[in-house]
Amino acid sequence: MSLLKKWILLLSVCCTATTLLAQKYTISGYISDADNGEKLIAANVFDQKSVAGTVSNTYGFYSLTLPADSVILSFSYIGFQSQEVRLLLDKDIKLNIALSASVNLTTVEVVSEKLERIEESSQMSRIEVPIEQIKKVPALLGEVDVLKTLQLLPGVQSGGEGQAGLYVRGGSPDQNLVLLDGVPVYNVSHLLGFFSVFNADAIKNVTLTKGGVPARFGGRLSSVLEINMKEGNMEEFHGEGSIGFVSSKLTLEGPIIKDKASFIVSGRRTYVDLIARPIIRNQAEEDGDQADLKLFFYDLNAKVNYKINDKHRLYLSAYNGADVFGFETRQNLSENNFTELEGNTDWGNLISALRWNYQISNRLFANTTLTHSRFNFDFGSSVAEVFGEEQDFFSAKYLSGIYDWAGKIDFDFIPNPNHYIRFGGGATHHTYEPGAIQFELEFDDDFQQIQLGSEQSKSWEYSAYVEDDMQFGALKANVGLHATLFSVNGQTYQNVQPRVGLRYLLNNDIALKASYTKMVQYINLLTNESLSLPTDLWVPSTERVRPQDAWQTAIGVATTVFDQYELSIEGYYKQMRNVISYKEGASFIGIENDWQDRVTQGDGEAYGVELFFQKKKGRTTGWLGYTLSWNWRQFDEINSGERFPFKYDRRHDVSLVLSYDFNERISLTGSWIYGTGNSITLPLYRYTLFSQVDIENIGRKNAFRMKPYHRMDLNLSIANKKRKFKKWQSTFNIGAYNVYNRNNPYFVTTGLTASGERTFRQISLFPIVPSISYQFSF
Amino acid sequence: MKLFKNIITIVCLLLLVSCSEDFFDSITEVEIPEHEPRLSVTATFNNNIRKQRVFVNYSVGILDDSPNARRVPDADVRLFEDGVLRNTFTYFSRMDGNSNEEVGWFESDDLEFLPEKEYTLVANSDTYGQATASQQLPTEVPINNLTFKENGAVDIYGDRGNEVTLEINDPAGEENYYSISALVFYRFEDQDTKALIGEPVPVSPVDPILEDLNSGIFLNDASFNGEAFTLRAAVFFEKEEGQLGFNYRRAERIRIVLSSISKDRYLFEKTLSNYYDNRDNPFAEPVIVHENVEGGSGIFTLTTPSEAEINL
Repeated sequence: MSLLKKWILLLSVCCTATTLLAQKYTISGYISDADNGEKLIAANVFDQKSVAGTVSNTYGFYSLTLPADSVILSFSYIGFQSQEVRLLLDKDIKLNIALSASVNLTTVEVVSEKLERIEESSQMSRIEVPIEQIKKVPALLGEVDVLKTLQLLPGVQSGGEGQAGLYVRGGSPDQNLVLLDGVPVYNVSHLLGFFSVFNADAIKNVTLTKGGVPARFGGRLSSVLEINMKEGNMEEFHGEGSIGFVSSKLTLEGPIIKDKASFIVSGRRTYVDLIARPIIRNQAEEDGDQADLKLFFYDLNAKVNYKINDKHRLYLSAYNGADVFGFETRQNLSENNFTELEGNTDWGNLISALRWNYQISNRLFANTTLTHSRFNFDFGSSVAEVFGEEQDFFSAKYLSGIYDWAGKIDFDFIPNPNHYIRFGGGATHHTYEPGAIQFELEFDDDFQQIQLGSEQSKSWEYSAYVEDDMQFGALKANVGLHATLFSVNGQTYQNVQPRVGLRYLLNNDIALKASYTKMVQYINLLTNESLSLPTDLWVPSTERVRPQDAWQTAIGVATTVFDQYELSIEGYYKQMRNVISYKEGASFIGIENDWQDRVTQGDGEAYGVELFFQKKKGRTTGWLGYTLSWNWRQFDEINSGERFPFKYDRRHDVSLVLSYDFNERISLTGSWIYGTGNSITLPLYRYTLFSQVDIENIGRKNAFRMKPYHRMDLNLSIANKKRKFKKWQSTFNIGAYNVYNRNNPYFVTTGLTASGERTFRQISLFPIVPSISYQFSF
Repeated sequence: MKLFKNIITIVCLLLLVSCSEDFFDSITEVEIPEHEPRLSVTATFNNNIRKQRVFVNYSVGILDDSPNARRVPDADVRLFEDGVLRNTFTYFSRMDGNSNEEVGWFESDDLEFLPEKEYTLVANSDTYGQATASQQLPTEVPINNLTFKENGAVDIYGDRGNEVTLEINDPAGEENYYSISALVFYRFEDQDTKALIGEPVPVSPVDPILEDLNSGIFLNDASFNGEAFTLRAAVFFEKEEGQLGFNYRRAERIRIVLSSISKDRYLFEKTLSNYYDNRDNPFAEPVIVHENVEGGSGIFTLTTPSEAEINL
């Protein structure tokens, strides 16, 4: 044998041996809830032998590629009993796992030791709040509110008393990407912001990302709020609901074809109008007139999912919610002569999504989504005077809205435990109705229609991304790029946004984390700072109004102490450019010019430190959050070009949430929040120009601080005794909002005292508000 | 159970502590920071006029009940040119016929301003302290050519008027601000009187570059900095009015005044106009009226006018 042949043989043997040694196989499948078939998001899969692991994605899919060997796989999820599976991994294996809910302990108490702990994730500034915990937190009038619970987290603020908007790390509510089953929701609140549109009974999972946003998300500057609806019980018919002061809710779910297709329908409606309507009608009839009232909001969630086979699955989900305020009066002047007056204010969202999951291989998973989202606001009134067969008529309507059609495809590729690669892209078509006023006039059979205000405009937004969650020993990194292209009225903007998240494990319990995020936002919400009205307008970036962009960097430390306390401290710095604001003197109601003439763009700067201390186990659970922050804005055309504190600049923000389980049936939850008062603009002095022109001077914008806000809420839950074979379960919730009746500032207005002297008054909204609600499930 | 009882006790105590006569009163008085009165100074000087006024008042807190005119007759008002005293102002007053209130001002009759000099107006009061403001004379920009066309323009509001065009050379390398006004000279003829009387007439923008503010037409050179530029405006007046022999008047010539103004004056006029337009609108964003007086409030500006006339 020649030397060459020997070398070739040796090389072949080495290669074969190396191949055999490096032979890897993949275990993949879905992780679901054994009781109802719901897919579990971010459930942990961990091989105890190789110390490698992964988590399930939004659709419960997981994939773990390991060297050929025997493996001890542990599957775990918060509130569920862990499951251990021993396998000989000598081929690719498909393994679907159903985890059972813990029976002896309440849901939020249970955290398996093998769950991904705070210090393990490469992502920082991300918080998942279990829906069961959200349901326990005391709420205004007993209305369980997802967004208000999130306001109790560090780095997240409320705008004011009872408001549902989220102000995340110096951002404004329009800078949050709120996704309901992957579809953007534009208006997240009902009743002037007092209640959020999300019905907790229909929700499976809530995750807020305040910084270090992964590359798969884009389009907003400040945060991503992912809310996933339940899929519907695959096993059996099930229902739950509640009856409260403000509204009642009912959710029904069950299999259409067992283990193949399921549905969920959930509805909520308020009923103040049902109580007030007869009173108003009677009152009007006593005066010989007619009157009617509409005053309610509703939400309707529905979802159907169909498992075509092991590789293909379809989801169709929809949400419709609206606020309806209106009145009708008819004043009878004589037999055939009367005056009719009508007023309406309606606004709401309609969103729908069709999703197709396709498991292309045991390492590659695809999700294709088609979505539609619509938010519209209509405000109008009309007067009709009828004289026999003749009629004079006048009506005025204010219309605004935003309508989206979108398609996107996302891939998850998990080549080995050290890499989790996501990539994809999508396109969205926006249509904007940025505030039009329509007049209709009918007089002496002459009919006229006039439309004023800004014209409808349309835009296309394209995006593509790639990210890899990778691990190198103690270092874990999530590195990605998000690229966007936005086209409106012949103007095109393009941006590449790098994202980096790093985690370095100092030891088993302490991790250092850092992140850098660049974000770009092409759509803007024009909002009046003095009021929170749904008249806020969604408008696109244009040739004159450039896209907003921001970069944020954060650094922090995360640790788990005594296995049950999580502590994280994060510092952040965020710079925003081209943020939008109404010019001085401008208002949303201006119809004499285009919206672009009423706005100006400037810069924002926010920085601060957040502390989050959480206890997840035991009879007492809860968290303490504290934020020390600064938040500035600078516009050339506002405040003489000098920077000023943002209205929601809040130096100190504290939230304490504690829940104590007396036993399996009774628990008491309390929350206490404190926040520095909002910055507002008030005239502070008067001076005279020329001989007698009096000017009220505000000095500097937002120079006046309202009083600090603080409040305590309590909620006591008493459940009925659980009986075997009896499905009906019920819980009474008795609570109080603002327990010590603090007069918290809502807004400041000017008025006259009894002696006619001018004065400034703080208006507070809610004194102590008791609540009682009854929850049931069957 | 002990913890539960403790919590209930605490809550009951808090409720009791909170209970008072105004337990459900949702309105509370807001304390506004006390304002220390300071001088407010207004002086908008035109370099073509030698005798001009400075108005000196004092400011008050927003809740103070005091009259609008808060004069400071004993103030000491002086004008410095590059730090050297140039003028001292004297206080005058008279009764206003319309309001039946006294109107007071400081006046000097020897005012003249030179280019590239810095002028500082200083007002001093023993009670209200010192207020100062500085300005330089804006560069004079002559009207190179002026044309007039009867009924030749439609303004931005769609109204037809007489067209005037002004050709100017905007100085390069500096921000320039202008205002435009018009004066029509009428030949007045009555049974007893014959006279030539000049009268200001309304000017309205034809080009959107001109801003129609409450006190006149203003513009900045952001879009034509350093270039030759032609401004178009509509001027509203009738060439002939009345009947011959009875209040008859005929427009004989028109004078267009292009005033070079400072950035301070431009921002002041713009924000003051905005302030007046929106002060009664509860939905409007608050407006800060531009000021340039240190140690007090108000505005001090210099204006360099250029004039051109055309016979009608």
